[in-house]
Amino acid sequence: MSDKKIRVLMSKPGIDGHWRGGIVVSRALRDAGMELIFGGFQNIKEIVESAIHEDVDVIGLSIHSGAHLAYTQQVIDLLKERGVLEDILIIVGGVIPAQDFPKLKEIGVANVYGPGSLVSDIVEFIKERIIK
Amino acid sequence: MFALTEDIPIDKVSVALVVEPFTSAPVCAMYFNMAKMRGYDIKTLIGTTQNDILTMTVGYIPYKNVAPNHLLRLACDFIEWTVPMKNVPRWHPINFTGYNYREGGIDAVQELAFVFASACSHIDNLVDRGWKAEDFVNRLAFHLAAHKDFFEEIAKYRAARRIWATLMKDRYNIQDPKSMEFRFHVQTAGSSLTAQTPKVNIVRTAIQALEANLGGCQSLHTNSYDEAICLPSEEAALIALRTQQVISEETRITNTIDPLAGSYFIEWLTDEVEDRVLKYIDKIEKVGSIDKALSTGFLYKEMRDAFHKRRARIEKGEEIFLGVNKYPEPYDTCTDVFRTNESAIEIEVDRIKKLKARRDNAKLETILDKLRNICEKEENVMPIIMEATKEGATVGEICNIYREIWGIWEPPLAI
Repeated sequence: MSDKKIRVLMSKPGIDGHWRGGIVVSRALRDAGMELIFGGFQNIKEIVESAIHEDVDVIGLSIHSGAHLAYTQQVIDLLKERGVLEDILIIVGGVIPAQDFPKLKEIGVANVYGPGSLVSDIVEFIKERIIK
Repeated sequence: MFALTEDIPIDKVSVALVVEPFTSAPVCAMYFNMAKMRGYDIKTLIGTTQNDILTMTVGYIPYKNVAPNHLLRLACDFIEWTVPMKNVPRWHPINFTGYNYREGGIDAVQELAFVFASACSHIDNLVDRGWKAEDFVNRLAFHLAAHKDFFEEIAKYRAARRIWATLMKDRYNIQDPKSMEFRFHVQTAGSSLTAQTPKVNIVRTAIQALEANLGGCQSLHTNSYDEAICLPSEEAALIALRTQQVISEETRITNTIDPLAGSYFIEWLTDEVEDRVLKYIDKIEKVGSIDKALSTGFLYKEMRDAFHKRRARIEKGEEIFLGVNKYPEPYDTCTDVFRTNESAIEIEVDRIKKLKARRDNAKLETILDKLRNICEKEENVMPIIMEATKEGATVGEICNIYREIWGIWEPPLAI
């Protein structure tokens, strides 16, 4: 174990303006000692490129537009194509129906956080999964 | 616009166009052009454009926005062109949407203070352009939240009426009592609803709708019980509509104006809210007009502090959510989830391609050049945008000219 910090990219795929969730979670992760790269609005290519450039351990996708299945699939496909899918933990949060949680996990998402999730749970989950 | 309003009698129905200052001019211009082409006199049209600067800055964050001083100018251009210039005099050209930022975590006092500080900045801007406040203030509209604290919300609406009437009378020397009226729309609180046991949301929404009725709202949006799960399904939307109709049509609550007046608690709470709002408006105005309060980051920090505080309260169980932090329940998986049509993107892209092939691109380019010029001067953008959209300019093309002339603004998010 080194003293290197866990690096997280928080991104909003698409142009939906519901940012609050992403900001709240970002702040909590930063307060928990992680390094936060707040990507804001990014298209799929930008998400994957900045994840690689910033050498992140985690990508957080914040999605409230209903397009979570399509966007997440596209991010995962491109990460795979760039050969970095194995190195990055993907978590998804937002207004996502519980029916879709298994589908997201099936395509490779580590965990999904719907409305009412505790940010402390997100912090704990990331710390458990990323051992530095 | 033609497809959007098909079969809707737009001369009889009051239409709400939920667009913000960045896009309100081109979208509304398209609406007015459509109405003209259908043979309506736009002077008779009724409706509301949200056109709210705070929604698109501290409420939501739009894609590649321009700076707040330009947004304020665009919002005021639209108000000026519709109402005092009398192009669409019955329109509500702006709807100060406290609801949207309240949902982000601020409290009832901040909600009203944000709304009034913003409204005053718009009035001041138009007065600086040479208009009299009474030329347009009776067309300004408001959209407030009905949140979880039952009596506090009712006191908030009562305080809002007092504050507005006093502002109009004392600050803007309004004489006509009609222009001192605070007319407002209410929406029940989406952020109070849960994805766990979603049918309980029907009860929450009904109670909030009751607040709005007892507080004297002019119109009401009741949220659908699937708010925390997906875009509303038809069934959920219908139950939401019936919820408010039970109150307005079955209970006779609406037969009495201000039925809680005189209650020692409500009167005390109203005074308290009023007092705190006035102090908070001062705090904002010390920073400057609403665009300054944004560009300095002041309002972003106020928002940030408020929503982190609210998050901490929820995590500690001080703000109760049944099914979440009290009597927890698993996520509901039985709700019928509404899904958007994914191929809609292709349909829309195809439609825009066809439009661009069909229109007179040379003519449009000349008009867009004029818009570039007008953006650099202090001239109202609406007439040229009416012309540009009539020739088939898209919202994206108009917004790109704003970006080109004024630059893209990075908001001080203050995470």
